[in-house]
Amino acid sequence: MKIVCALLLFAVGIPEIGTAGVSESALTVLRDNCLRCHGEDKRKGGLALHTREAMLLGGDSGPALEGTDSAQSLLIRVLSAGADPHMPPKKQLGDDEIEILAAWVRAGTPWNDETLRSLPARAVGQWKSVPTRFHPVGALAISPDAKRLAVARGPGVELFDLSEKEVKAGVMLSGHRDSVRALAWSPDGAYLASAGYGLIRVWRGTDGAEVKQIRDGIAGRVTKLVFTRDGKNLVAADSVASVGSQLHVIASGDWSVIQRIPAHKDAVYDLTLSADGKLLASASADRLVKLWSTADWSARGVLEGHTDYVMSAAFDPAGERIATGGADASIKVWNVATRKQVCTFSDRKSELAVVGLHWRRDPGAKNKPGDDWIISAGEDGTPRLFTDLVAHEGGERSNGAKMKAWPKAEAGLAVMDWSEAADRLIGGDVSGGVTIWDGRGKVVNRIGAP
Amino acid sequence: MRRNLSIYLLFALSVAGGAADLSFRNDVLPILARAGCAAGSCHAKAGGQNGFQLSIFAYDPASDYREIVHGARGRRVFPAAPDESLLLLKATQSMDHEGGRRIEPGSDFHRVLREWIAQGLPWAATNEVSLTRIEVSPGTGRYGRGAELELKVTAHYSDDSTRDVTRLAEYRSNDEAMAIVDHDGRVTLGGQSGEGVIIVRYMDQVGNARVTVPGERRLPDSAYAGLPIRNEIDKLVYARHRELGLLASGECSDSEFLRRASLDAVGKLPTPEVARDYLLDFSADKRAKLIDELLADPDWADHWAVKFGDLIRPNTQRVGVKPVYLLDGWLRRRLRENVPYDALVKELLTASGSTHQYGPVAFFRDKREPATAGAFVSRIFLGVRLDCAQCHHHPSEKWGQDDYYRFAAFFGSMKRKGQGISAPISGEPEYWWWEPGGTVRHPVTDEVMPPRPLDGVAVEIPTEKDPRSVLIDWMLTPDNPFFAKAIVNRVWGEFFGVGIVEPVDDFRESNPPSNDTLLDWLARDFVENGYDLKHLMRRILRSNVYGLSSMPNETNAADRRNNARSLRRRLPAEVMADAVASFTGTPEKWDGLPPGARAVQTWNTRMSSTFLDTFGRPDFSAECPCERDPAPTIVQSLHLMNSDELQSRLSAADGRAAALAAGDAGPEEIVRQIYLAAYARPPTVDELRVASGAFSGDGVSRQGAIEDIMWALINSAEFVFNH
Repeated sequence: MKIVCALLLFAVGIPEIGTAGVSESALTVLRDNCLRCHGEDKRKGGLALHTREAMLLGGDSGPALEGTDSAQSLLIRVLSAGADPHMPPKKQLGDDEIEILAAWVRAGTPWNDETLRSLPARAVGQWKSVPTRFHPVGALAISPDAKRLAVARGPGVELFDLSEKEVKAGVMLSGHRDSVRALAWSPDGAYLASAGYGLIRVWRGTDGAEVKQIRDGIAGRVTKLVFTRDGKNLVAADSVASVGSQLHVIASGDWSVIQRIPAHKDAVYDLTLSADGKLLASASADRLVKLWSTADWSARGVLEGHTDYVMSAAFDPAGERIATGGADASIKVWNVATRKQVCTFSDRKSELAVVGLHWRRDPGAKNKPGDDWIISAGEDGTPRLFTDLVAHEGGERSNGAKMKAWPKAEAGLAVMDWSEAADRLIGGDVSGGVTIWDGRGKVVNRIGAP
Repeated sequence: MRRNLSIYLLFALSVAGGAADLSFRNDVLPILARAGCAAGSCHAKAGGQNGFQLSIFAYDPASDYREIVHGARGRRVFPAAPDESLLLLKATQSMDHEGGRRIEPGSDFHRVLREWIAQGLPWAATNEVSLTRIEVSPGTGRYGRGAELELKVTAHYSDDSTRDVTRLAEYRSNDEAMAIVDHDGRVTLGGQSGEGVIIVRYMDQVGNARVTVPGERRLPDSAYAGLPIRNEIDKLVYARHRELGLLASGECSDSEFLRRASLDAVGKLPTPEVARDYLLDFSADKRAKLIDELLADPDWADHWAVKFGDLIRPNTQRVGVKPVYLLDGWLRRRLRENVPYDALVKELLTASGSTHQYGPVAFFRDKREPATAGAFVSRIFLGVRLDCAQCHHHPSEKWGQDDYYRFAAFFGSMKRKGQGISAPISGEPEYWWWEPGGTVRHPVTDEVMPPRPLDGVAVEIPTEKDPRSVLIDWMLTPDNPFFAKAIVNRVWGEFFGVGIVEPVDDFRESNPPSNDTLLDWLARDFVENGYDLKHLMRRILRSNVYGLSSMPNETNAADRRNNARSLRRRLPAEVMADAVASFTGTPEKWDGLPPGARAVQTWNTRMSSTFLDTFGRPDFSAECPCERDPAPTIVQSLHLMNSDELQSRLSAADGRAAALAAGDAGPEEIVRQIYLAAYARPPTVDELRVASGAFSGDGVSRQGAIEDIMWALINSAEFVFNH
């Protein structure tokens, strides 16, 4: 990428003379104020600013730049208070910000792709302790051996013992400043990762001792964590709501970030792996689901069709299809190879979001076709079991499955996890309660709010 | 701008020390509403905006709370760093926000929201209270033109506490020419006299302030001294004129009165014979005699059946031909019997039986759901449009979903069997009856809604009693605030072209009557006289105000609401068709009706007729088919000028033109006959000269001249309008 850029710059004939500092601060202003409308997708007024080449091409009103003459360049002129048209349309940039851009134009608009693509990290001015009354379940994760349950309510993470009939409270992991929004166990149960705003903590699974804190390049809240099936990587999605999300691939050896992928244009709410571990799916508020190869972290396709935030995703056990659900209250099933929708279904009586999904085989059937069991968790507090999927052509919203509602949680569900080993669905609700259903939908236990 | 700040701060931020919790409902939602977040064009539109959805007019606080606090895994709030909350970043436009900056950083609103997030997003305050009402002051007042005033809005709560919410309320003027109002309740009156209403909304409560601007030049009492007063109506209308500086126009001519009263009361043109007799009658009580004759005319029932039919006759293609035919027949029969209006409505609304045997059952077949039946009854018989409240609180009125569904609950236990609606042919009968059992539920809370009349208290209805009869009993209490007023206003609107409340079925606080003492008196008089429609019409017809000229004077030229002159009105479709038929002497032929039947006798408005379509019939695809468009159109003019149908009527062998041509009258006598038939008056000298001249052109036949004159008259405004 760097090489391509350099070649392009060369071709256009403007030498890259600016210092890294000028370019970084200018591109940050550009990224935070202009790119939403003049990006790769929207190109308002025919102008795109996501690459230097596009910026030099200009838009419907002509070239954005007049060489290095900042006073004459349209890009700068539209920013002044009395300008018509005025940019950004509903906001006035500060004089300092305008000067940063002007200096950058004078310096020949040196480019830095990395700055433009990275998420703006907002510095939190003042931290307060999370009010104790605010304790929705932010995340929960069942350990691979199904003996422990990690539940995040507020800034603390509690480890519950699931091995006995009575669920017993255990260790409390504390130290996060923000409410914890993501939890993940490594496949061998050796580690538990937790995350909130700008920070991932790794704990030893056996005794809850802290192993590592990871802050490097993490912008905003970490909204989802997942370990790859081989346990070699931890993948974290950070999310600046309504701005974007990056995937951070972390090596579980030394906990260093080995790759950073600009993934979505809004928060990511779910990361899920295929059964063979070769594909990772990310579900985002930008209404898209993206597929990634866990071998080289290359993009492997986009699933486009949801009309609101996508909150959850689950592969089928064979890895041929994927179910996705979200704030549009519908669940869509896609063919992974063709990335086409196979069917759509929903509980028409609920308009609330699908916040969690799990896909398993009907435990009573023996690997026949049509033994799909898709279990969803709803923001209305109800888990639902969908079976007998009916494929349909086109985009019509026919109800392509049979549905059975399971008994409700005591409040709206926020998160869920499924344990194949224990045959349990565990859901956390917005009041801080945790409900445990067995594989047939019977409520077998509840953990009260703190 | 600053005047209410201290009071607001006092209430909301007395808690800033951390003592008491803020309330989502009472502290947070009002700010979001006022800032425009929950506007219908933004986050409260169907489906929300960019994934964030609030309820319109905050009708569902629990849903709004869930959306803000828990929606999308809590992405909008950040209690550990309140300033980083998306809710604040977006609202203050510290982050790119399509809706722009809704809340100033550092403002009171900003601080309250921030504090609420820091408190851990409480749902309810430590001592949660509920809003019971709002008070707007000054509630009424008289002001000069261009005057300015500041409104103050006080919210009253369940614990008797109050709060100044002037800066949180929303304001709207019902007539921008009368008064404009800004965001903070500052009112500036316009340059005209009259009455304006400022509608004030705060959460689910609506209040208003009425502003009256008296006429700039009030006339001396002597100006009113000589006005003839025939009954109470005149007194009350003149009293209003005095306040507004209006003076009634003079009286109309005998010809105008005859034509106007005939068209209004029975929907037909007076014949030349009737006109001649009336004009030559010099007795003092001839007007009273005419009025009695009109109200006794057998055609009265058919004319009013069209009016009431518009309100209650369903679409034949929905409920079937036979039920509508039976309903129409029932209505005409009852009107012919001059059944009192209360009995008529009672019979309709408590009907049961077969749609193929008993007309009124068609109403239930059409309004099948309790909610549609309730909204219909409210609008048609009570003049209250509840429809908005089906989905959310009425934007400018006190009606909420509670009112809507509790009113609907009176129809919540209707039972049916037989064929349902299977448009276009609902051929088989359906049976409707009442039987205990069945409830109406609130769509948001799912609570069972016990029946409650509008503005009334919930009524305990024994299980063995039909709730519909309880509703009727409430409607027919003599001091019911809606029932009698709604019908007298409708009838008044038919005779004057504009209701005392206008539109006639839109009674609301923010749409006050032009003359409330008059409306009160008419309603009381109507009830005291046994809900007798003919009595009401007699009162109206006998008033001096009804017989005013349509020529304006300098005081009333701009006024349309206060009956200071007669308004010119285009004839409605059926009346126009019958007028053309009787003027040309060529009765229309209607499908399924005997020869000689008139348009006002057609029993449904889908009968094929280009003429009626051109002049406007109820449109079943409209929101309420009870309305017709009364406006004159180009197509109507072209139809009268050019249609083959009209030409064939003029030249028909058995028509008036042929009869006049075959007679032995001279041109002048023929012209007089034609003028009497069209206008109920003789021609003026000039008209007589010009019209008679039509006979003497080269190659003009006698019949041709007559046809030309008649064509010219039909195409005149004096024919097409009632004046």
